[in-house]
Amino acid sequence: MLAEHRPQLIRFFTSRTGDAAEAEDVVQEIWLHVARAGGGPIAHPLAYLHRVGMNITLDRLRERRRRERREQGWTDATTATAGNQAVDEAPSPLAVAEGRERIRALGAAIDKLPPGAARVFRRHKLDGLSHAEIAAELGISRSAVEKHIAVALRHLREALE
Amino acid sequence: MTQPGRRQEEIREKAAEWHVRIDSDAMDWDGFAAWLDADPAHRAAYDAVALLDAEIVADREAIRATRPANDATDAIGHGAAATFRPRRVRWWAGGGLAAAAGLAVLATPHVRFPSTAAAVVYRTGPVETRAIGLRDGSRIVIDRNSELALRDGDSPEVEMRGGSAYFDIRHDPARAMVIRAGDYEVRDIGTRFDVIRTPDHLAVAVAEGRVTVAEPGQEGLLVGGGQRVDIAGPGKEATIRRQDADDVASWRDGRLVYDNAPLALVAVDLSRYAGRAVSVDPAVAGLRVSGVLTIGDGSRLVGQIEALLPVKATVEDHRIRLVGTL
Repeated sequence: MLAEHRPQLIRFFTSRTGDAAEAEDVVQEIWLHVARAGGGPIAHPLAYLHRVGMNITLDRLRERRRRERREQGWTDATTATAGNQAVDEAPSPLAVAEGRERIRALGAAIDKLPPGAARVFRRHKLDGLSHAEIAAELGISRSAVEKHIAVALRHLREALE
Repeated sequence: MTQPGRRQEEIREKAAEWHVRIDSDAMDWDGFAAWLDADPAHRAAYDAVALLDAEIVADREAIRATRPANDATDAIGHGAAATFRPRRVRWWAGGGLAAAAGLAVLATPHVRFPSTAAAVVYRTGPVETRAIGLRDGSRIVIDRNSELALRDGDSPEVEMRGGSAYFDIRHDPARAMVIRAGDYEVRDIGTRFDVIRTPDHLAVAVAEGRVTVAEPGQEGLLVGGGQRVDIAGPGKEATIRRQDADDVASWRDGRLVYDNAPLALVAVDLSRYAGRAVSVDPAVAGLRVSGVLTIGDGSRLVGQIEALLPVKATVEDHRIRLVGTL
C-alpha cells in the first residue's frame, strides 16, 4: 500500500514540514505504523496514510518544542524531603501556578467564544463527540460543524496570544 | 485593523479551516500542500493551530473542571485549584481508597469491551526497543527486556506482562484503551504515559493528559500529566509524586533521566536493563538520584549508579544488591 503512495506522501510531508529530510523520516514512521498496525481493510488508504503522518508530524513538532523549552534553561526546582519511598515531591510553586494559569486562560477563552462556535467546540473538543454526532444533535450540517470549530480555533489563537 | 493584522487573521482562519477537515475522507490534501507552500507564514500558522488544538484536547478534563469554578464566587484558592496542590496519598489494595483532600477519584465502568482481534505478543531483548502502531493512530513503544500482549480490536486491550512501555493514545471516545497489569487496570482518554511493571511493583508516569489506575471494578486513582504513581510493597501502597513530563519514558532516547528519584525506584529500571533483579538495601533505598544515565547495552548502568552514590553492587545467585559504602 505504501510503496504505491510513497512519492505522493513524500511530496505532501515536504510541504507540511518544509523539510525534505523530515518528510523522509515522517514517511518512514508511517511505514512502521502501518506495518505494525496490520488490522483490517481501510476504506480510504491515502487519507488514512496522510492522517497517520499528520499525527506523527505533530508529535515530532511537540517534542521539538519541548526540547527547545528545556534547552532554553527552563528548569523546575523540586522540594524534596528525605525519607522513605512514600515521600512526595511537590511541583515547584512556579510550575503549578503556570500550569493552572494556562488551564484557566484556555477555559476562559473558550467561554468567550461566539455562542454557536462555543457550543460546537465544547461538544467536540471537551465532550469528545464526533462531527457527525454534533451535526445530528444540533440539527446542522457537518460542514457547519467544521466552520464553527474553525471559527473557534481562530478566536482562541487570538485570545491566547 | 491594520492591513497586516487583517492578513494574519485570514491566514489563521484558513489554517483552522484546513485543520478541521483533516479527519474527513474528502480532505483535499493537494490543496492543503499548495496552501502550505504558498507562504512560510501559512505553515507557522498551521503549526500553531494544531498545537493549540492538541493542547486543549490533552487538557480537556482540567479545562472542563474550571467551568464550575468560573461560575462560583470562590474561583481562587478553592475548588478546581485545590486539585493542583501537592499531596500525599495512601491507597491499599483491599481497603478501597483513603484519599487526602483534593484527590480526584473516578469510578471505573464495569464494562468489558468485546474483542474481535487476536492477541499478539511482543517481546523485546536487552538492546532493542520496539514501536507498534495501532489502527487508530495510537502508538506504543516497548522498552528493552519487556513483554506485552496487544489486542488491537474495536477497543484496544493491552496486557502488560513485564518491563516498560510508553503509550501515546489518540483521543477517541469510541475506542477507549485498557491496559491490564497484574491486579490493576490503567484506562486513559487520549494521553501519553509510561507503564512499568515488575512482579511486585507497578508504576505509571503520565507525560500529558490523565489516566485512571484501578483494580477492576474498583474506584481508582486519577493520575495527571507531570505525575507518577508507584504501587508497591506488601501493603500495595500507592504514592503519587511529581514527574517532569519531559522525562517520561526517556528510555526511548537511550537515556534515563532522574530528578531526585529514590534509589529504590531507580532499581526497578536497573532490573529491567540488567536483565536480572536489582534490589536495594533498605538503609540506602531512600538515597536520591539526580542525573542522566546512558542505557547502552544495560551492563554499565549499575556502575554508573556506583559512581553517583555511596553504594556498591554485590552479586549473589545472579541477583544484584546495592548496599551502602559509608
